[in-house]
Amino acid sequence: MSGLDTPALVIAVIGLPAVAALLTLLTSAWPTVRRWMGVLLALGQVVLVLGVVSVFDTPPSERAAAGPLTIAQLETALPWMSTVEPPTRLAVDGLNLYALLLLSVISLLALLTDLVDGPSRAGLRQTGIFGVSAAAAGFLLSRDLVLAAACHGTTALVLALVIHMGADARPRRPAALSFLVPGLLASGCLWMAAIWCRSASDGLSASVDALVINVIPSGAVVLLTLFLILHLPLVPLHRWQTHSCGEGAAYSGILLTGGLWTILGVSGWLRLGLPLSVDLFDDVAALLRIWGGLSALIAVAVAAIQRDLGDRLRWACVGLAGLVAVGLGSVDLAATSGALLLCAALGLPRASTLCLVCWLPAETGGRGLALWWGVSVLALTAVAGFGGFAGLLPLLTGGSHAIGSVVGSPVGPTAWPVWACLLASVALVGVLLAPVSGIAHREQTTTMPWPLRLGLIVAVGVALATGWQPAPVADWVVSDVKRILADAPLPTEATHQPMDEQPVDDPEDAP
Amino acid sequence: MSHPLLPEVLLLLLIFVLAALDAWMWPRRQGRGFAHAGFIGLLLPLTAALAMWGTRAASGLPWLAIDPYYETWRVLLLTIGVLMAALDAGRRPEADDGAETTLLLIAVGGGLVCIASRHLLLTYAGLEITALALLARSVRQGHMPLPPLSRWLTAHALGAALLLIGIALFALGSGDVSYDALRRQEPGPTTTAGGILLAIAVCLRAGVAPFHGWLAPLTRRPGQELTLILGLGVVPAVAVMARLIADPLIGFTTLPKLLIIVGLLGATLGNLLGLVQRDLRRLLAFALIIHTGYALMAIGATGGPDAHLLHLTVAALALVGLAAATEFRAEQITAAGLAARRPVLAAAVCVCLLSLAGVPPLLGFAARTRLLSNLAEFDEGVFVIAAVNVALTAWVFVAASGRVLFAPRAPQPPPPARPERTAVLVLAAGVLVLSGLWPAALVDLMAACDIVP
Amino acid sequence: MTLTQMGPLLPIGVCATTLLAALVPVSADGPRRVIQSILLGAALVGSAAGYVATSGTLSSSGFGWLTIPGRGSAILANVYIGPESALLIGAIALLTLVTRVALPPATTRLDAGMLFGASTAAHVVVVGNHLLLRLAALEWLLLSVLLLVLQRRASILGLLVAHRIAAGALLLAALIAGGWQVRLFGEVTGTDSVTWVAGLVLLAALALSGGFPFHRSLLPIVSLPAAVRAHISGLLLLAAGGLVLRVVEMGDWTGSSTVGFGFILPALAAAILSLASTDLRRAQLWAWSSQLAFAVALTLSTPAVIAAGVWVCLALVRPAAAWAVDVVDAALGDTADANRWGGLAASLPVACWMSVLAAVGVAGLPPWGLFILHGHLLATQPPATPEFAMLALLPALVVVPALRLGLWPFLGSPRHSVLAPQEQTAVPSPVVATVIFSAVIGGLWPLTLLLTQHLPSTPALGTVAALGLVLLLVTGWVGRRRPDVDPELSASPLRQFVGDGLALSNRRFRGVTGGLRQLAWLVDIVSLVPGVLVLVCRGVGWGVTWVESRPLWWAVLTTVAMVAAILGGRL
Repeated sequence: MSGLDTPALVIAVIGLPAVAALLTLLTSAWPTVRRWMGVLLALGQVVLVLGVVSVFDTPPSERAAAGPLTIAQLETALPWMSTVEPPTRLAVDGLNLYALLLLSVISLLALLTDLVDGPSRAGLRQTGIFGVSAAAAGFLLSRDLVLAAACHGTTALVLALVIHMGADARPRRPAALSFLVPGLLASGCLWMAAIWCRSASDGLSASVDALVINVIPSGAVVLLTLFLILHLPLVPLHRWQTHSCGEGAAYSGILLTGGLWTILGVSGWLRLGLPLSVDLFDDVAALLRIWGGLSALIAVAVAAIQRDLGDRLRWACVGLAGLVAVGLGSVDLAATSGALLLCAALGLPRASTLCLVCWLPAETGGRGLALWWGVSVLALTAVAGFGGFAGLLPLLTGGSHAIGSVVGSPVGPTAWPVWACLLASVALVGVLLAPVSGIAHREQTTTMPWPLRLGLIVAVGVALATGWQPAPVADWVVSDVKRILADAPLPTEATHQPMDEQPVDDPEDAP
Repeated sequence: MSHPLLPEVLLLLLIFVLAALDAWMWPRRQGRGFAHAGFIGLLLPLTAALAMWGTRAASGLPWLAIDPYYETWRVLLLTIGVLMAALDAGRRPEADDGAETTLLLIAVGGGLVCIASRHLLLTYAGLEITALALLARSVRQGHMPLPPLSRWLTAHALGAALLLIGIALFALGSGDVSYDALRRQEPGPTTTAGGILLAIAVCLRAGVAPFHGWLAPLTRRPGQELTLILGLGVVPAVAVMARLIADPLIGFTTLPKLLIIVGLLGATLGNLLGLVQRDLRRLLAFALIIHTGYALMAIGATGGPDAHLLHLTVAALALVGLAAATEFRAEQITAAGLAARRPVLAAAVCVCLLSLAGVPPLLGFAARTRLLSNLAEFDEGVFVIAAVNVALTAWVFVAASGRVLFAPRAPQPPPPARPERTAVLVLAAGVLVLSGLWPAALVDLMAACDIVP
Repeated sequence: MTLTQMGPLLPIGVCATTLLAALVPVSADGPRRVIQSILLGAALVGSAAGYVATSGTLSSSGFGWLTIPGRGSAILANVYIGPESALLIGAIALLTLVTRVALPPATTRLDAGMLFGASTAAHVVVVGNHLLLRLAALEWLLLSVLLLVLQRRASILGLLVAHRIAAGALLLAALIAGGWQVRLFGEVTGTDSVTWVAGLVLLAALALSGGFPFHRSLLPIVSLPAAVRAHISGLLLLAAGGLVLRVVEMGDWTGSSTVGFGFILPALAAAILSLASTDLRRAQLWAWSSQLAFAVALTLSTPAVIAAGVWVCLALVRPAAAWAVDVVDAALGDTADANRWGGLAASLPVACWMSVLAAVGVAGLPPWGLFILHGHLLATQPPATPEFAMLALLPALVVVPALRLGLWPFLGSPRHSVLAPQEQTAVPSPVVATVIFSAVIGGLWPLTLLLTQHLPSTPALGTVAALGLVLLLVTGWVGRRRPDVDPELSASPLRQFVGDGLALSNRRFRGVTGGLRQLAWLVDIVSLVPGVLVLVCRGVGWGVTWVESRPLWWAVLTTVAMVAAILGGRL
């Protein structure tokens, strides 16, 4: 074991941004010191997570195997709520590793983008950014549902505050409240599910590894599903996406919300929710597929008629969430892995493009900006050659295969969600590229602030890199999804034989 | 050497010293000297109590239970006393009155007595001492018009009467109304009736719905006074109820389920009333009703003392903290848009409100978690209803903190800036945050308390 | 390493070199042009070497690209090179070099970069082995085209719709080819999968390069400078050619003449539109559309090495045709009214030669251009049969519109004075040289088939030559004696609403011209369909937005929908 391969790394991933938040608060009176210290600490966080990535065992060897679920590495236990009860566990696995990396990068970008919001309340915003980073890291690393709910709620609260501290004096719509209500509701759902599941088991541990071997109440499964849905801006629960990343929100808040919120929900549900939902997963999966397909179609149609570029983009993000829902509801290794990969890959492009569209003044444009917009759209809509496509392709492939096997018939009226995904993914590119004409024909009166430009460069660069070399990220994800789905009661071909082919019981064989 | 009653002795000494000083110095006044003396003096018994907290098992003193449960309450009540004394120190110098500080200390002492009591008469005495001290203090401050005072007096008198009648009914049986004697007594109609009257009386003192009507007029008082009444007058009554339930006295064996119903009723009523409430003082009163309801549910679920202790701790700290933000005279105190004028004050107010809401990473989250865990093991239907109530509570107080942060600047002036008040508020908020981030220490201490000595 | 061993790597080198030319960081115009020219020249040499090296089909090892968990090994990203694809990338390289020389000095660095970036993407579309790799390159190509089109103010809706159809069809084809959803199409066998894949790829090729009924998608390019216009249309044509040629190599597609001849219909439709159009630029665009469909039909009916020559020829003559049209347009005062065409040979000799070269190359007058290739088409049928006769007339679909555009503005006596001064109609010498060079290469390239002895039969060649000359004479005669076009042309309100549709003569059935315009107007109804579809989608969007703005309606409808879904799922 190398010197880096210690569970202390996991604690440091949470502790460093927490300490940074405190230090930022204390140095608020000295802006230069605060800013430089913040950048250094954020860079340190990125380096730390890269260290975790470097010691992560891929593909996992036997020594890292632990329990029936995801392969937890760098595991550490700490008594959080009580020293008498089993301690809460933190660990890194394939499902949260990329999310942690994304979190650290987005936090750094948010810190730099904060400069665009101006000096007013900058110290508080910076504190909030680090607070979000610490809480989100805690959520991602936790294998205990109660701790996860606490961290999730903290993330929602602090992120709402960061969103609120935008540059505008008075937003037309309360962006922060639009985000906070569903965010806290999601935390509440996870929290209640945790307590309910714990009471249904031995009542001591809320760790997912301990709960998974027990019978989970149906109500808890409903709550866990609701937890997921509140992170995916599916119509009609989409307003947090369309409002919270809009007028009046702080740029750093938009970056964090656009880049992180959905991946937090999807990653969290896959790690903590899906393993506990396997008994009722048929119903849950059908709900996700249908809802996702409908939402994608509606969102594309509504996006196409939006005149405001920001609204159009936000509705497009709603449409993309529908694709993720269909993938998650397909109960197939390829589709579920694809959904998570799609979700992860879209984080940076979505965040940077949302920031760009919020900044874009109505009177500026130019061919250069049009090019940026075009490339960002390609990255955001997961076209071939960009990172999102490495998730979209297995999503479409696996989704159709799974639906075909579930239905047990070659005719596919129930496969329409996958067709909807295909149509939506293709149409969204056109919907988002249509305004490029207006952008290109305006005069360039202002230049893009360098933090936004940097964000776009990083987003496009990462999208291209993961688009042509998606294997490392996919390797992290696939083995853990496979383990989780191995416990799901997947319908097999044998259980869905047509009636005339089912074997008839021979009465002579009866005892 | 650490005598189990060291903090109480120190408190008593402090009371006598201040009373003597006040009598000697009257009618001359020395600014805020008494308030500061009370604040510093209370730190001594608090320090002693903190040092003893969680270190000793139950010690058998006649009629007094100095057990871990009492030690926890001792720390809590002394902390409330210290913070209230600090708020006193932040008031206008010409309003200083040595007798008020003395009465504050007496109220604290009365609360300690009723919690430690193992005898019904001593319990009655403790409750009365607290109530009368608070009443006298309010009268001395000279702000209270007659109608709200009369409603409070009526409720107090009714509660006292019911308590005495209940004790009398218990005494008809064996003549000895100590807890040990009552446990050994055979059940009968008089003891059942006595138990019921006793429960009603305690509920009346605790402001439990539907006996909460006397709280409403008090919400027009300045925040500090309201908090004192709620924090020292109401909260210990809940501890008394916990003692009575935990100790299976006659007539109380069937009460746990009834307590859950009453608690649910109180929490629901408080949530519904709080939804439309904008005045911060009324919201404080409803907060206490809600948390008292949760505490009663925790007591009725018999899962452990940590749940109700945490709830009352959160309620007390938050109330004390919010007292600093409501300490001025106005028809309605909303604190709307406070963030635009006084950001530090607004942040601390929000922490207190969010702690009442039960959102992480504050102590209220741990309290709700323990409560819901107990209820989930008790009954799933109750758990679901309680969960809905928890969500409503969160909505009420998150909305309130949202008004503090997001609302436009209100025409109402902010509370006057006093360093003592700001310090109390920040301290209360800090405790709520720190203990919320790492609740294990507090939860373990409280979970280790056995209510029955 | 021998040339043969280097074969698969040469296309990668060509792509890389072209990309480097797009990304040259030099800000000064002169040095940048020189460096880009050198790089593009190297790319041309590399592509020529690639053609020499690939006597058979070769593919490079590539790298593992995309994985589908649980579905086997990773999809490889590698190149596939054969004689046909080598020919196409050579044509792309030459076209790009011509564009570099012919670009106006006012072209920004960004636009030049996008042009050459589009060339790089077109290279990959041609040589990429997997359909998904081609799709990835296609997206870059389409984005570059879109951004280049934005040099002028024009509606890009049609372009976007066509591009999305192309991308969607290619994606669906890739999914089916990968074994996706075979069961969705009933009891589908392996052959039927190939049918679906081939059909979708052909659809993508048509939509991508503006084939009928997607002909209006390229309308925004008509106002672009000649060099840019020719480059875009040539690249799209060659990219489409690359896709179609790959389809031919799948399964049982060789000899699928029936499907091939089905593409005569789009060619015919586009030819009618071109003949009926009075705007020189639009007529050229419809003619190009007709040429595309004809090329697809030819590719599906003849051996690949012959068909590749068609694409090369049609692409390389486009710069000359585009420059000629631009000069005529400038000379006639930017109206391009057909009544003004005529007698410009004396005043615009350079433009005349360029136009004639392009026209005869497409027309296939011996020994130019499609002459040999038309002969191969005719040679598939025995002589003196009805089928032979029919096939002989088919090339008229591309010949007549090309000759009309190439000859009518220059023949006969002048009908209008040349308004523009000399300097506005003069074409710089380097541009003339490179454009004519390209047209000559494109026109003479099919003659190289003689070297490989791919000669059609003498009767076929003779018939093609005779028909070509006859068409040339007839077209010239009609051009000299043609009446004026009715000036009172108006478009119907529906056509004005969904897009500028073809205007209709008020005096109907007035001779051949009137009848032609009637026919074109009927053909153009198809172009209304995308607009109607867009209207329907917008209507749905407005409906949803209206309901969403009313919370009570929204809540009720949502609840009803969810209950219905749950009940429906349970039932």
